[in-house]
Amino acid sequence: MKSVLVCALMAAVLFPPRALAADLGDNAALVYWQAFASLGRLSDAEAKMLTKWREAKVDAKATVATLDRHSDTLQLLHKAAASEACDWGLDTSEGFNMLMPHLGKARQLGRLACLRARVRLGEGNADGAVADLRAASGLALHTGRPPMLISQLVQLALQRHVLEVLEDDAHRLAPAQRKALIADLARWLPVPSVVDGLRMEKQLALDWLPQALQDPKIRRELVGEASPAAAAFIDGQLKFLEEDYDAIIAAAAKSPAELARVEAQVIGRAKTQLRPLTAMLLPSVSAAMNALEAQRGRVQMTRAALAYMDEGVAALKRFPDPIGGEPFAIRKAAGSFTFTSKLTARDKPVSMTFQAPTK
Amino acid sequence: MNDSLSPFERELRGHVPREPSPHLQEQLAVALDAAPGPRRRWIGPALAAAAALVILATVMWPPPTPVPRPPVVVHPLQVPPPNALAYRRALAESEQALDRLLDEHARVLLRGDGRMRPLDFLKPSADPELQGDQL
Repeated sequence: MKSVLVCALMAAVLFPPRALAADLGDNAALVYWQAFASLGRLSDAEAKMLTKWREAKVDAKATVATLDRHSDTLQLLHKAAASEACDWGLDTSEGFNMLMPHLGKARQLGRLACLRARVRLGEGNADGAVADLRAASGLALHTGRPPMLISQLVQLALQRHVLEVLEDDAHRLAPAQRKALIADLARWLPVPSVVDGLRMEKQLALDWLPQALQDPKIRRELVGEASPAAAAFIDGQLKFLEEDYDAIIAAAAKSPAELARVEAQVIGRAKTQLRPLTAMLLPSVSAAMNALEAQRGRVQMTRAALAYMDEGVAALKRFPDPIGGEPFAIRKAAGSFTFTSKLTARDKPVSMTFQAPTK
Repeated sequence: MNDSLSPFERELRGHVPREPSPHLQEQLAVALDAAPGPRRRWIGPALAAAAALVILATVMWPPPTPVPRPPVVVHPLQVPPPNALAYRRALAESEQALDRLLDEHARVLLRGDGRMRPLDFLKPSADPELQGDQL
């Protein structure tokens, strides 16, 4: 009996259950990398077209040719985006040296999907366009994992592209499609938390730096040429960094205004009191938080606009401005309408202009 | 014309030149064969002078050798590797700087040579293998 149990145990160790293997195979990142490989190295013209995807002429031969050439790539994107699990396999033991080569490629892929959505909407293929937008949304959510500040910002940028397609072309969709998209966009809320992003960065930094700073090359790079190699100096710098991360995280948890205040204080002190790690790793958190906040407004505004197109002003109460809780301010013009939030981005109120559907 | 000749014309007709004598002809032939003609006297020196000039010109002004093209100034890879530190630094500069870096990485990655440089990206590379990188 004992030997049977030992054999069973060994078999379980040597041949793991099929479910485990299935989980590994279900990793969306593996399919995204196939899509990136299929996308390959774009020509300068194609790269430019994708960077300016919102301005590309949808009926131009070059646009159609590019999309035809990358139809397999987009098919892979659709497959990957439909998966729940996505592990990019990032090597966190490398700390801030951790390579994140998927981020740039994910942006290109997301733009390609948004460009095709625009083309399809122009051709009257609204179902195809919605599928492309859903794929781009799935990619955006996957890109935000794990929640590093940088990954979160790339997620935001990809989601913003989807919102831009809707801003320009949601009036071409059928009411049922708009309704479904309102539900899809709900999955984007709440937007990624800057506090989560900072916590992960802090852990990454403090796990990696004590060992990394033993290397004179990395020490020179991070704390300057003249920095002493003395353990006491390095310990002191790490203590400063931890202290500054904690101050920033606590402020970010309170409000964007509090974060801006504390950030100015921390970065100012880092410059005058020789805290090079803080000066390098902690600026711009406030800007990132503002971007995340503005996105919260844009998502809600897009949902409100989709509902407004079919239900009119009555729908606006269901999707209030995240700041103040009132309906968005609306300004109508011939063939379009503009929503404005009390949220600001780069000192300007967040606003979006949508085309009105033709009745 | 008038066929009736005047006396003066008749007189002129009578002045027919005499045939040179065979002796004169023989003397002339001998003289012509012996004396070099005036053309032959200058052609030789002229040809020699021209050849000398050509040689001199060749020596003094050698044919222009093809101007070597200035060596292609190859910049080592200026783009930092796609790591967390590079992105964090770009963000510290501005969101636009982060955008530019991500776009640049999207452009140069997956080109098949797998080159991603380590932390010392700010220093020019001495690695000749990297000299082919021109962005």
